[in-house]
Amino acid sequence: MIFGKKLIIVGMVILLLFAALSLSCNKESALGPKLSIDTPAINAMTNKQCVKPAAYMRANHMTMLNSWRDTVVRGGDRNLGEIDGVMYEKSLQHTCLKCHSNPSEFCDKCHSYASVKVYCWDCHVRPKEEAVKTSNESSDNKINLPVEPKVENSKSSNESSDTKINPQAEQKVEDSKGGVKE
Amino acid sequence: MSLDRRDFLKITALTALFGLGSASAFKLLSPDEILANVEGAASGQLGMVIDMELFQTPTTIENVIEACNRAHNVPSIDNTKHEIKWIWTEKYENAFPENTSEHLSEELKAKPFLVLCNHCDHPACVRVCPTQATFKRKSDGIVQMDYHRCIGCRFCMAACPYGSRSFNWENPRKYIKDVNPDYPTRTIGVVEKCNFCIERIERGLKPACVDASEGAMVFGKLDDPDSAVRAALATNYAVTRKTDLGTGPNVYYIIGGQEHA
Ligand code: SF4
Ligand code: SF4
Repeated sequence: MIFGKKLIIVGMVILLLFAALSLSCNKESALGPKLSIDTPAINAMTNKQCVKPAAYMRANHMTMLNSWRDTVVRGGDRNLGEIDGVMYEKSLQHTCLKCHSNPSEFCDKCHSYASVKVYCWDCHVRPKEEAVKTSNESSDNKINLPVEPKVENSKSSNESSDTKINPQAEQKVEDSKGGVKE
Repeated sequence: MSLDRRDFLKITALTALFGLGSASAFKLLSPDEILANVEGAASGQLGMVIDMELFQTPTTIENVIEACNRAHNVPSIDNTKHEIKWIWTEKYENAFPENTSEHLSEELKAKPFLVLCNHCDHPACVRVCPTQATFKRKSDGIVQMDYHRCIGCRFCMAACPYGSRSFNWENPRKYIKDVNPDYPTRTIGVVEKCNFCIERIERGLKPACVDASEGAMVFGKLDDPDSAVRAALATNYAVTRKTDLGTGPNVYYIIGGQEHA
């Protein structure tokens, strides 16, 4: 017989080795993605607070964006109200991305981890990322998703800026008004 | 279990009755509901007056088109079968085919007329859109699109008698030299058209074309007797395009030249 006992055991060992290898190579994904909030706009904030608490955003940003879309496009209601003395607009391009001007270090991290493809960028313009290259790797500017225990990861991965759709995004961030989004 | 014919009919009738009673079917079949979706022109309808006489140079017309294209990331595609147009020029005889004749003045024949979506009172495009991706806003009568919803069926293009709509046969990004970061682009497979600069007027600005027109275009509320559009209409003879089709266009033209008026 071709498939002797020994052969099967050897095969299983090889399989296990491969599995172990892939896990150890892909440390980051095994520990949950690391997001960077090291952007000029966020660094300039005294109270680093999103329009909703981080836990809410993590779980609900997609439905929130959908409801923004419907109320803005169909109802013409762009006003999100005042948070910490700043007026915010319901706008992916002019609110979310003004702070998170590093989508490849923020949005993409989780979305590729969870293998959730988004088509936002088919129409909405990604901020140009060279200008906002993260300055350091200080750990307080990294947030770990609470999927796994927090582990320091020395691997730096902030160099990639694969998307250069928009050649002239301005990096003015003093407020989020005056922009345009549909 | 076996059903005889009577039982089968009873169950079918009951199911149909239940289905008809459900809210969605009721909505679908009620003509009032559909009319309400289509005709929201009532109050605050925005309109535009284009004074063709005041366009002194072709450059101004080019500037107007360029201002819109830049503001909205309208791609410039040379292939006329794929081109995207929000505001563009037509010959008089194509803009006003029902009012043309063999012996038009040469001046009128040669004049380029700026044309765009008319944000109609009774928009044919809205009536046919199966997804309500195209709708008429109650607050200001703008005929607006939700590109997220558009399935690219192009019913609206067939319905619009003005050719105001373009379909994205290709990815438009390739054809936009400098993407304006203030406004999204569109994507392959959706229809697009002029939005009366909804994103600017909601911030108290005038439409980009009006700003670039050096006074030849005015914009405002048609039901406000003190508005700039009403002032222009009160003192000039102005026409709308293909008026007898009953779409109720809201872009008016002052054709110009006393001899044509
Ligand atoms: S001009 Fe055409 S696209 Fe614009 S509202 Fe009228 S029917 Fe619709
Ligand atoms: S192409 Fe889009 S906007 Fe036009 S009718 Fe179809 S779904 Fe509606």
